[in-house]
Amino acid sequence: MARRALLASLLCVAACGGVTYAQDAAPVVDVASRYAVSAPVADVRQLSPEDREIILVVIRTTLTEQRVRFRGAHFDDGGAHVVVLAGDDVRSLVHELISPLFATPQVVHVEHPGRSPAAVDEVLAYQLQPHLLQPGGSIDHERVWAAMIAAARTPECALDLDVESQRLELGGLRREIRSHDRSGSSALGISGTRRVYKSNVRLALVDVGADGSRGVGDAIQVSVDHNLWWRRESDPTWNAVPGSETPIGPRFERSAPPTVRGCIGALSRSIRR
Amino acid sequence: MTQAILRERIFFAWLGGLAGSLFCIVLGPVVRGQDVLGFEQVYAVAPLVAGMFMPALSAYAAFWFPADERRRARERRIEPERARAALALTGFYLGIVVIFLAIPVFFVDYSTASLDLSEEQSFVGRVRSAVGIVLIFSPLAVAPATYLTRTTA
Repeated sequence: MARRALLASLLCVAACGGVTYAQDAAPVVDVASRYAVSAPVADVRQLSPEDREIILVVIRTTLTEQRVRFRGAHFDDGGAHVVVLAGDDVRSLVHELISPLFATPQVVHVEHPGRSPAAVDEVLAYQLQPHLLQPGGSIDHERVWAAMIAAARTPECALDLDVESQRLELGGLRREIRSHDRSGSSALGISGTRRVYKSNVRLALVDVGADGSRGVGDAIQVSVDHNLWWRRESDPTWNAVPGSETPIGPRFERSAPPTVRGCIGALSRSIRR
Repeated sequence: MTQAILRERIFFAWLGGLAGSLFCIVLGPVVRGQDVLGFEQVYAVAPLVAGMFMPALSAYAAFWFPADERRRARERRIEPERARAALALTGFYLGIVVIFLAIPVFFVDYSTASLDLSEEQSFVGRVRSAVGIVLIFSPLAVAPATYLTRTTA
């Protein structure tokens, strides 16, 4: 009797352990996004006012940051700003994310001074919308900032902006505003998950100095940072959604939260207006 | 019923209670889904739950090893009403333990109107509270142990 009971207890504990081992592989959600659209300053100054309408931008994400390189771009292709991107996957990703924001990108060939003639890169060129430029050709910071705010308040983006987080440095033009944390548990629609999500979006407009550092300059860096956390319903601990391990490319687009896509899309339409 | 048999039965009742409690909390993520309850939360509360059972289990188990003690316990007879009372009190306490643990595991709705969840409302917080409440009843379970763990010498 006692032996049977002991055996039953041991089997029960073993079964518990087996179930635990089998079920412990939590699904991994692959969502990460950090978008930064920038225009190199030094190249802006080299451009004629007409050419300033053409600005090449690069979008950097946390996934691709290590693979995107600025190479002191040299331009003789219609006076355009050029940012060199490395890697086909990155180029594909950048094209997917940035093409709605600006004019249709064109592939241009860039020669690198100081390197052999064979060192030619194909890069994507993007145009900033003309109405965001002042008559002299410089970027209209106010319009860009207003466009970003307007985009944040569209129904598809619907950010509840946190005024307390706003930072303004008018002289050096450093503006930043964050949205409140918000739940996206139902809106995100990430397959296989019913967890509680919260997200926070940061809009930033920063002047870029002539040497590429942040400061007073003729170019701006417009960024939309989106951070996403999740937690289990019964657990108060928030976990950052992992992204660095996420394969880049088309999969990113599919798994990106609709809220992020909404904000990017709204920003794009706002800039186009 | 001899003291040895009663000790054995109560020991296995405690062992069953421990196994049942652990099985109950381990079953939580399977039943509720890992979106609600994760195994890491179960692991966090498992020592807390096991800690309720270990003192009694170790006390009863200790009587199995001295040969003289086992022999004397086999010869000592316990009055039936005392044996029933001991089993009833133990069973009642263990039942309370399992019920109080099952509530946060299977029945509590953890969804909140706000984004954040307070520590007290969390699974770990609720299990901790449940253990605290259950320990209030522990003298009921300790009573037969106090009687039965007396040596027969």
